[in-house]
Amino acid sequence: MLTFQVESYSKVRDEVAALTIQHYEEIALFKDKIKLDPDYERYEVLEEKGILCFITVRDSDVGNKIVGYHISLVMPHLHYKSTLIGITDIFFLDKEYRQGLEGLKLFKFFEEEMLRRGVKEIMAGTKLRLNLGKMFTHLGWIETDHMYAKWIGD
Amino acid sequence: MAKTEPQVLDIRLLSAEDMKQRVVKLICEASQKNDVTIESRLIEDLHFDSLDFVDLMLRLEQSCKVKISDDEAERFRTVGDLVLFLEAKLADVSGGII
Repeated sequence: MLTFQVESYSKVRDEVAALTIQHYEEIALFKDKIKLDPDYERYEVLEEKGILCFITVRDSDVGNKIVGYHISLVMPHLHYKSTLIGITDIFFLDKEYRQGLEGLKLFKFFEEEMLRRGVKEIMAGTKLRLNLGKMFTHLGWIETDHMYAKWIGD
Repeated sequence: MAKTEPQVLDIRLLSAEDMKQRVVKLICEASQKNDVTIESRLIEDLHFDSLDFVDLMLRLEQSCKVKISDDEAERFRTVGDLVLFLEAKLADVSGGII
């Protein structure tokens, strides 16, 4: 059975490391140019400041191992500072655990946690080649932006 | 198999057999698989994930005017379970969104 909970990033970051590699291999753009190199220290600073929200998905039937995560930043909006927002940094669910409604439940849990923290607006992006738009729409989100990326390094 | 837009249909006008075929067709479209039968298990055989469930719920709502909640959707183990659920819903209903 999968469980969803908020945990301390600094306490479980080593446990999550293998999953982040899987995440990078499946999702990342420009892999030939950008290596996976998480800034653990900066994540921990954000956690100390109460900005980071780290949600884990664990399988209680398999040693309670972490099979997914959702990381978001909770802070006042830069343009509307009286409004607290929750911006999704990254999220991932191990392919073996995507069957059923587990992905949907992860985002429902995220929304509940943001409500609990007094957040007024939540945001997330989705890759065009793994488009979760229908799921977000089903959960009551609205499509607001299209993001573009261009590699301008060597 | 490419995803196609559902055709609007009032399933209350269908015979039991036609409804089974209709549900199988909707699930083929949502899962993009051709080998769906009434005994197919949504998760174990068809590998339904959140997107497939959402797609199916949307197709049922658009094509058959049937609303299914997330909790209800999660209880379906097989295509046949969904057919039984629809039959039970239809038995209770006089019109409008089910």
